Parts: sequence; structure tokens; C-alpha cells
Amino acid sequence: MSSIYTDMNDPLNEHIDPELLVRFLSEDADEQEKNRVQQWINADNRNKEYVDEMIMLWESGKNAKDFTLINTKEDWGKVKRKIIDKDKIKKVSQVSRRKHFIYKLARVAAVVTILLSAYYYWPFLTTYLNDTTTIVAVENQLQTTLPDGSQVYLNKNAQLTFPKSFADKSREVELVGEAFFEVKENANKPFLIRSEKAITEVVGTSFNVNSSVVDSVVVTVLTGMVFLYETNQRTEKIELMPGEQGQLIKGKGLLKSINDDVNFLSWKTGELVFHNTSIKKVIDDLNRHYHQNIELDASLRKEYTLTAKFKQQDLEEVLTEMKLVLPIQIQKEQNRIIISAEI
Amino acid sequence: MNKADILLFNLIRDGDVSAFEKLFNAYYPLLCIYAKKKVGDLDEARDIVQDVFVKVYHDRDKLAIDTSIKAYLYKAVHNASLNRIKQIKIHKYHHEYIKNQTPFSEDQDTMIKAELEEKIWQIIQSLPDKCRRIFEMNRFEGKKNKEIAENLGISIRTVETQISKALKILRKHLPSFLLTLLTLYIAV
Repeated sequence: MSSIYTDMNDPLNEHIDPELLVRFLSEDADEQEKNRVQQWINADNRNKEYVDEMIMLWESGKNAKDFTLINTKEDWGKVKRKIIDKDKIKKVSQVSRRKHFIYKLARVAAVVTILLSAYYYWPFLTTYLNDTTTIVAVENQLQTTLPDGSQVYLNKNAQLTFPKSFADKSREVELVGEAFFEVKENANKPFLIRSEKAITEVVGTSFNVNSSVVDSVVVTVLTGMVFLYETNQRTEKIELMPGEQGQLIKGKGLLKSINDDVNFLSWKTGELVFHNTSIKKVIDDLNRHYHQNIELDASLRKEYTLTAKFKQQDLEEVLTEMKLVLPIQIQKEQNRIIISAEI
Repeated sequence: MNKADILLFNLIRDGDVSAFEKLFNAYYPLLCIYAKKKVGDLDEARDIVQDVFVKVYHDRDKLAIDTSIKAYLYKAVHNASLNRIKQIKIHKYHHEYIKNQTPFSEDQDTMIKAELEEKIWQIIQSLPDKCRRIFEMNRFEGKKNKEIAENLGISIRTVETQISKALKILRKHLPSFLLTLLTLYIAV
């Protein structure tokens, strides 16, 4: 029944001004125009069907906007990461059922972020008193190789202590500040990162460690599997899977949550990604990434969001780009940068 | 399953991630829109659909797909959405919960609406630039025609003509059965 309404052979179309119909749909039509459309609709049932279809197109056209808000490529990245990780863990757990489960997990690469509290800055373990090396990244990021061949990338202000050669049973290091580890696989020697309150255990893996949040230790797992436990209570430990985050908060114990911060490794990758991110979170990430003191003025509307990707760009460029897409102005003072509403 | 489905799914069973990516690209946006119509929130919908894809990949050896991959995915998203709504038992979702308890077999209209919107979205992308821009300003950005005319420095009449052109192209390219079905549903 609809086929007769194609433009070519639809005589009724001539009877209604297409612009009038658009005004009718847009609710721009005045009373007289509305009556004219209504009369046309009443004149023939096929006219009514035609207008019903147009209304349907009009409403569905509005809903189609949601497709602009779906980033298939980005979301595929999330799914891909999950399926690849799950696959690896599945394979590992299948072969290891009869053997030492934990040590078999050593084959899984893990990426972990640990935030060690500056509060927990503590004297180095007596085991390291003799043959140990301490390196400090004072001005810039620093990369080093551990005795077992593992790689460590230290963020600014981070400090790492490790023995000249590792013990027989385990590989233990201490870290203050933030670092990214790529640990060589060795199922017989688990890798331990110590802090005063917590120990993170991974066995052949890669992970990231930080000490900027006071009074807490945070471990974030990207791939693989990691254990987190309190130094004095090895019995109580949490097991962290990809995408999960473990926290040890003073007075609250061990907590497990989901990591939703895409930029937690930005200091190493140099990449900041924002997707409909609130202006507040953007500023938090910029402050952390660039070690700056950017403040939001009260004049700025909090519901502003930013969608952008910055790769290896300096702060100046980032702020200039933000200014292009948001109605903001930037004011530099001695020790801080203030972002306020554009006048 | 049809032949193309069988070929694709065999590749996925063998662990071919790029075949799985093809499946994802083909159905992800559509399924997100479908789930959004059930749970009322697009971000929630995206999470649900991502979880469904992860689960499908994970269970690829065990899946028994008797209809088509697309029908299977629709059903999986339908069930996952209902589960999510059950989980969120907070008051504001109560209304949706009642509304969305529809069994999958009777949920054709939500599927058809999602399909129609996807087709509209695809056709809009292929409209001539000026026509597309004006249609999007009206429909996506919620601007009045007068505003659009002022912004672009053209007459209101031109804006109306371009929108009418967009509607005509949309109608010409959409399967008429979709529109007919939907107008029937609306009437109910």
C-alpha cells in the first residue's frame, strides 16, 4: 500500500506544499496552516498514511542522533582487550589445574598500577642493607634494567631500591613514587613490590607503581592477575583481574573496585584521552600529567565536557585546543593557571 | 544460520579476532540503540552490549545458534538488559521495569524501531552536505528553522526546502514495510 506513495507516481503530493508539511512537523505552522494540513489528511486515508509515515520518520530521525554518540572503534578496543585477556587466563588455568595454579599464572603478562602513599615512605628493608642499588628520577623519567632483565620506567620523583642480585626464592623491590615495570617471566621467583603496609605479588608481568595519594595504596590491573595483601597479614589478600583495582586504605583495609580511569598510564604513554569527560576530571588529569596547578574558576559551568585525544603534546597546546572547543579563558599566574568562563 | 553466518562463525570459533571484529562492527551500534530503548541510558546500554560480545566470544565453542547470529545477539542483549534492570531495583527504574518485562518473542517493535533508526542514520550520512547539515541541526541539535536560517545566512524557506528534500530521500530509501509496520505499532 505504500508503494503508490513514491514521488514519481504520487498525485496527492502535488496537493500539499512540502514546505508546509515541514512547518507542520517542525511545529512552526500557524493555525491556518495547521487546518490546511488537517483538511488534506482528512480528504483521503492515503494522505493520512503518508503523514503518519512522515511523523514516524521525523521522530525516528531525532532518535537517530544516538548513533552519533556511539564510538564503535573505541568500544571495540575495550571488548578486544577483555577477550584477549580472558583467553590467556583461560588457557593458563586449563593447563595448570594439577600444578601450582599461582605460579602458572606467571605466564600471563600483567599491567598494574600501584599508588604507594608518600605517607608510607619507610626505611629500606634490612635485606637490602648490603648489596642494594637505589635510583631516583629527579628531573625526568628514567629507565633501568633489573638484575633479572626486567625493565623499569620511573616517573619523575620516583625512587626504586633493588639488590645487585635477587634472592633464590623471590625478587623483591621497593618503590616510592610511580613506575612502570616489565618483569621477566620466572615461575620459580615471584616478583614482590613492597611498601610499608602492602605487598603486590606478580610473577612475570608488567605493572605501574605510584606514590602521590596520601594514606592509600592502589593497584590497577590491565592484563593478567595480581595479588595484593597487607605486609603483616598474608592470609588476607585480594586477587585482581584485568580492569580491576585493589586499594589498601589506612583504617579501611583492602577494597576491590573497577578501574574507570583511562589515563592512569598517561605519564608513560604520553597520551591523554577524553571522551565526554567532565571538565573537572580533565583538569585533574592535566594536573597529574603535567605536574601543574590548574584551577577551575567558580564562573565556569561544571557540566562542560571534553572529547579529545592529546599525544605527546605540551600543556600550552592542550590548553589552546581546549579554548577552541569550550567557551573558556585561561589566565596564568605565578604558581597556578586559572580557567574561567569566557566573557 | 545462513551461509555467510556459518562461515563467519566458524572463523570466530577458531579464535579469529578480526572475524569477531567484523561481527562487532556490523551489529554493535544497532544493539546499543536496542538496549538503550530498554534500559533508558546509552552508557548503560553500551556496557551491556560490550559484555554480551565478550561473553559470546568466550562461549564461542558452546554456542548453539539455530536462527541467525543477529537474532541470537538480539535475544542475548534483550536478556542482559532485563537482568540489568532487575539489578537496578531503585525506584526511578521501577516504571521501566514493568514496561520492559515483555518476553523477547513479543518485542518486535523495539527491534524494528532500532533497525529503522540505524537505516535513517546511514541515509543521513549520505545526504548532500548542505541538506545533511540542515537536517542534523533541526533533528539532532534541536534548533528551530528560523535559528538555522540565521546561523547559515539563508532564508527560512530554503531551510524548509532542504528538510523536505531530506525527508523525501529518507522515505525513498527506506523499505516501505518498516514504515508501515511502525505506523501500525504507533496506532496501537
